[in-house]
Amino acid sequence: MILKYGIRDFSRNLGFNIFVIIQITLVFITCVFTSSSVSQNLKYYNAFADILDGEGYCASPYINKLHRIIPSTEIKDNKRFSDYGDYFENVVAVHQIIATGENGSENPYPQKTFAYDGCLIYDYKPIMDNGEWLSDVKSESNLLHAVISPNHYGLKVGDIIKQEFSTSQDSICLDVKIVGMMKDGAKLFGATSDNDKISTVGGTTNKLTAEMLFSNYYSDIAGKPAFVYNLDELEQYEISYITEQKMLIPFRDNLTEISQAEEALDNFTIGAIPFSQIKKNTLSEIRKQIIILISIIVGLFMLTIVSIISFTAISTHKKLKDYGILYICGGRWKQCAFINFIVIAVDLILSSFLTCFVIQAMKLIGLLNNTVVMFTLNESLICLGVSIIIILVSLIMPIIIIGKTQPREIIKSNE
Amino acid sequence: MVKLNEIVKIYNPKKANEFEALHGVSAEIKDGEMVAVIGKSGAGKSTLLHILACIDSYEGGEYYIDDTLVKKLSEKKYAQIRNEKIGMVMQDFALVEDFSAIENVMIPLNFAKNKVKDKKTKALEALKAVGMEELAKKPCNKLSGGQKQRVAIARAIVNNPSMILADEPTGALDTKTSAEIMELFHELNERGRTVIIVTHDPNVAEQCDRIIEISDGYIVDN
Repeated sequence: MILKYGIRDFSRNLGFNIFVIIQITLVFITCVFTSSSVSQNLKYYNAFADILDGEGYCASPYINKLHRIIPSTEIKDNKRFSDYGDYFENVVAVHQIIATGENGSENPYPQKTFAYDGCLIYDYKPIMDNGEWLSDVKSESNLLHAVISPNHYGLKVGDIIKQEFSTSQDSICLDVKIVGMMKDGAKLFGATSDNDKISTVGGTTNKLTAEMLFSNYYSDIAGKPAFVYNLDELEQYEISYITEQKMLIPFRDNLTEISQAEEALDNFTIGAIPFSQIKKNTLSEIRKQIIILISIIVGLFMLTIVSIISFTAISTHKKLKDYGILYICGGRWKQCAFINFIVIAVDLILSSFLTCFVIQAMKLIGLLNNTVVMFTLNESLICLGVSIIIILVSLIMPIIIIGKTQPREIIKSNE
Repeated sequence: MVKLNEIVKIYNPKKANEFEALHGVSAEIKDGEMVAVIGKSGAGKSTLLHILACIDSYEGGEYYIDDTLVKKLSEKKYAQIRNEKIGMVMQDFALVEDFSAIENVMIPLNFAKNKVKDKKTKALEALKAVGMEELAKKPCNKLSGGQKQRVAIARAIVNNPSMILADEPTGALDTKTSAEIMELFHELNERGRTVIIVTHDPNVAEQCDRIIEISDGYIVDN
């Protein structure tokens, strides 16, 4: 009965309930956006969290001192850094490889290559359009896997192309299977296509954050699509690669000769920034973002709460007579407060559907193309928390009003 | 059977504005009786009605409905007694205005402790008993005063309660409609229901088997 009355009450005040639904939807959408945005920023940080917790520097290779000279007979890999002393381990870097067409002919698929290793494969995944990221594919013999960005070559997920790669000895012709397609503008470690952030990564800034280590890759701006390979697969075939762009160079654990390590680092890098600085900058940036977004959420949330409190106070007063009727027919007085719960529950359910619908619609019309909006457990839990607060608040006024009123005061006395 | 034994009702006990509305009221109403409770304003009629209807508590004495002592029960138990043993008819009809006639009649069935089968059929039977079956689906805010009171009576009888309590049931109706409503109460009473009508209309009181007059919180004539 109470359920039926609650649903009837919802339709009785449809106009106001629509207003509340829109407000709650706005709060939900803001929560989802906020949580997604913070999660995304944390994603860049989490990719290197373990590394940034330790001692080390982010720096760019100093080309002259590394003798980075092609031809491809020279392998410049991250292991080479150990030549500069027993100071560094697990260097995170982006590498380039030389891929040509078959038999050294001109490559029909000019590409910007990225060869990633370690945490860049397993702890970070760019926004995918379709297919799988490199960490999700198993290695196959005589086959390399690549994730690519949108391209004009007509290459799509599942295609296998022939590529010739330089090795330390000669060259090797291998099939490359396209296993995934990134979204255009997906952020990649070491990407330079947008050219706006790379200058800051050179080390001239002390405001470097984990997010700045990544840049959006737009195939059109770069003039060619990105091909991302797994360095482990390349090494199986001794394919040559050169190290470029920024590197994360962690010092070995328990290293005591920090100053010597820094000196060694200075021999082959420029613009070194300590991990502690990057970590501090990143967390400070995330904190700033959270404060701004939480202010927006709290503002919207307060507006919603005030509307709901006012509405439930007015509507409870109006409905007291009906509650009296339910009471004389066998209802319980305090049960009547539950009617408001049903109304607000319907509001919340419809708001949840509307939130999903709006986000999907925004995705479909492309408003979220360069934004990562996720609806994971985190976002669901935040919305659930908001819902619980709204339910509790919506019950305050009915409980106060009903608690202060006796049924006999409602049931008219004609004395 | 309804039995009141030395009922005392005090409003705001132990406060500066304490007021004793009933001073040891005793009465017995047998099954199938049609009784009028009359008295001036402030005499204690409505207080007595509220106690009889299990809407209000009392401080002293005992109140029995069908040998069940109605005192210091849980809210759930009071609700069950209101639902199963009492049907109320009010002067202002006490209908949920935007519910249809049948939906109003179904309210007590929806609150029944044991799930009621064929609620609609039962509600229609009750509406038929008061001549309202054809208007069953009409919203109450589109019914006349007389029609609303019939719906209220149908709701009062739908759960087959042992007594019907009516608080000034004809107070908001014209003479002709009042007569029709009183006729309905007579019919219900003839079918064996106990009817207690609180009124200050002598014409209504005269149509009952017995009159209980209450004055200043005492029964002065029974």
